Amino acid sequence: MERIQKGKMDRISALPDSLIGHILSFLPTKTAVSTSLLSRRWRYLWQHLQDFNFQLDQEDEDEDVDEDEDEQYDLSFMHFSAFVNGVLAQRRNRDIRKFRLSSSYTGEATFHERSFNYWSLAAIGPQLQDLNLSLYEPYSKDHFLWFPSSSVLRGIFSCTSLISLTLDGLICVNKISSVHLPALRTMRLSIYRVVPLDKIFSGCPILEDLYLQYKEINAPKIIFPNSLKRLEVHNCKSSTSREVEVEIDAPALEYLTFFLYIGLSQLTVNNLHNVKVADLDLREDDLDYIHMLLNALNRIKKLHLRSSIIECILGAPAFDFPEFSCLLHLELECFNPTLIINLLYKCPMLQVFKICNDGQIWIEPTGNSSSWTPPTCVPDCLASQLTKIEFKGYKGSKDELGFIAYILKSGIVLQTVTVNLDSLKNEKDKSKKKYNITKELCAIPRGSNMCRIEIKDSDIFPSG
Amino acid sequence: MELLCIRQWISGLLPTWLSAWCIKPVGGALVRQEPEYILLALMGSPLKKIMLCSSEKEIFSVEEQVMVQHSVIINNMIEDGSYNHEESKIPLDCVDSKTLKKVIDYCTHHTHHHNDNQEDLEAWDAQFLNVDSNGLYDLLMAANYLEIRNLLDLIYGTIKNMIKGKKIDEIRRIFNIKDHGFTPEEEEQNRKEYPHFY
Repeated sequence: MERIQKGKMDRISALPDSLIGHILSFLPTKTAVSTSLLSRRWRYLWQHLQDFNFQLDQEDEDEDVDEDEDEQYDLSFMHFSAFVNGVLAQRRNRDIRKFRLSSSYTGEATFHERSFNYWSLAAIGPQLQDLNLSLYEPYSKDHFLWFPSSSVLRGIFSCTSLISLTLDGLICVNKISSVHLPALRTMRLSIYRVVPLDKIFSGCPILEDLYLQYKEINAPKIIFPNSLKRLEVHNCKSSTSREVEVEIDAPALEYLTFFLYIGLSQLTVNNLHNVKVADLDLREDDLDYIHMLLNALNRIKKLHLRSSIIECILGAPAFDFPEFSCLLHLELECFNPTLIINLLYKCPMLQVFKICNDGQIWIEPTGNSSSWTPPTCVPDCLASQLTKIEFKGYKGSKDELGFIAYILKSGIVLQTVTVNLDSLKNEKDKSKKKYNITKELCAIPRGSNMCRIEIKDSDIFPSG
Repeated sequence: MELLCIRQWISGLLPTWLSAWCIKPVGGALVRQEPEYILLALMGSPLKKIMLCSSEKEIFSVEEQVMVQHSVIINNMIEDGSYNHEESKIPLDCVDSKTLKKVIDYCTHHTHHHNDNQEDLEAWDAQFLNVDSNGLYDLLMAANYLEIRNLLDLIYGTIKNMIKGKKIDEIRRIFNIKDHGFTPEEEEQNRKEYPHFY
């Protein structure tokens, strides 16, 4: 919505310098510097910036299209480099408070490496609070990794004012002499390789928010800091690392996302009773570890179990879930009615339940007749708490229909049942199938008067 | 030393979840807070009111808790005891009545609805900022004076969106920058050197 001033005053230019400075700090630096073209008043205001956000946008440069593609991109980094150097040279404030650099590699390796090193050194200072260095996949796919120089690493990892650190992409941190980050609360490491994890963790006494994504981990053991409130671990599925030992003891932890596809040589979990929300995916042959993890999380309020961990659980003849006495919201990435019912028995307070059957787990086809018989004993949550159910990836099989019928019949306090038919979009006769499914579902007798069935289909309702 | 013992004793009286953190929201941020103040706050009446006086000498009565949670300035005034509940009012000479009313509206809504889901709050904020330009700047100055962090960030976000992605001519038009003050030669030079900005 465009706001054009009805009055004749130029109020924004009349704001005090400090407020204009704040406005500029919210803009990408390129835009902030361009405000110097607005008027005499604005000409030098950007120079008082202490927050910088440099982004190399490859679409931005309208260079000669005739030039060789590699050269074209190389030119764009040179322009970008000249801009960054120019801004850093003309800044009035020695101390930088926030520094964000997002670039790709586009040609000359040494030039890039030196540029990134010098810019990082310029950013490191007594007032640096937020550092974000992101080096992403280049268009040309040349192999390039930035190994920050030792003075850069020393500067970053002993910056006593640093509150938030993000390192992302084609960066390698092999060796750090010491880590002293007494003010660091947030750390995001999603870089190519980071070796001294334990040294980093032990140097961050008040770390609250940790996001770790890695392909290779060379550390045999990872001990996560015990000050954490939020932990997100993503291990790439293509990882070829050997097994790792993991220890989590974090009494303040509230949010846990744990995706681990390499095996665990050992898992120790303690004090996870405050975790409210967990999202888990483990490829782990040893079910004891899965048991241990779920047991430790038994006070959880919202749980999301993804395909790999469910596949492991299904591998066991009868997996014994712990009692989740506080669980209100459950999401499962599979459809297996026996498993689901077993789990529902252990969740007496469950209010919202979502199934996402995207076909990742292969279930034995059961032909035309249903092989699942509804249990005689109705789970507590179904009889008294469950109000909302969502089923994504519904295909209309006999098992699925039988399950939904059972839920609708026994769900006495159900309010909404949403069935998402998007998985049928590639099947022939899909309109007819969808019509039949809708008819079938609406015909099922419902145990709850308030229950509404919602059919979601992005073909008919594109907004989903 | 004595104060430390007293504080530890008071911490012992508080429920664990509260004393463990001893934090409270101030100006939209969370600040570590001494336990004795928390105890006093718990014992005190949440409906205690304070008086704010606009530049037009109009008095507004607001729940103390609401203003203390959002405005760092008001929180400091109340904490260091310079505000006497029985007789004084807080004079805000740089904020006019219309703006003060809006500010109070914002703080009150956010205190009472802080448990709402994100989308609802954002929708309310968008509606709240549906004011004319002059109103927006008045709000900005008031939020800056009272140091209300989340209102400031909200307004900065709005203004930033008015600038980002726009050409210089367009920005000048939107903000009514009629006289850019450059000499004709300077302006021409700028346009030649950075044509993609215009």
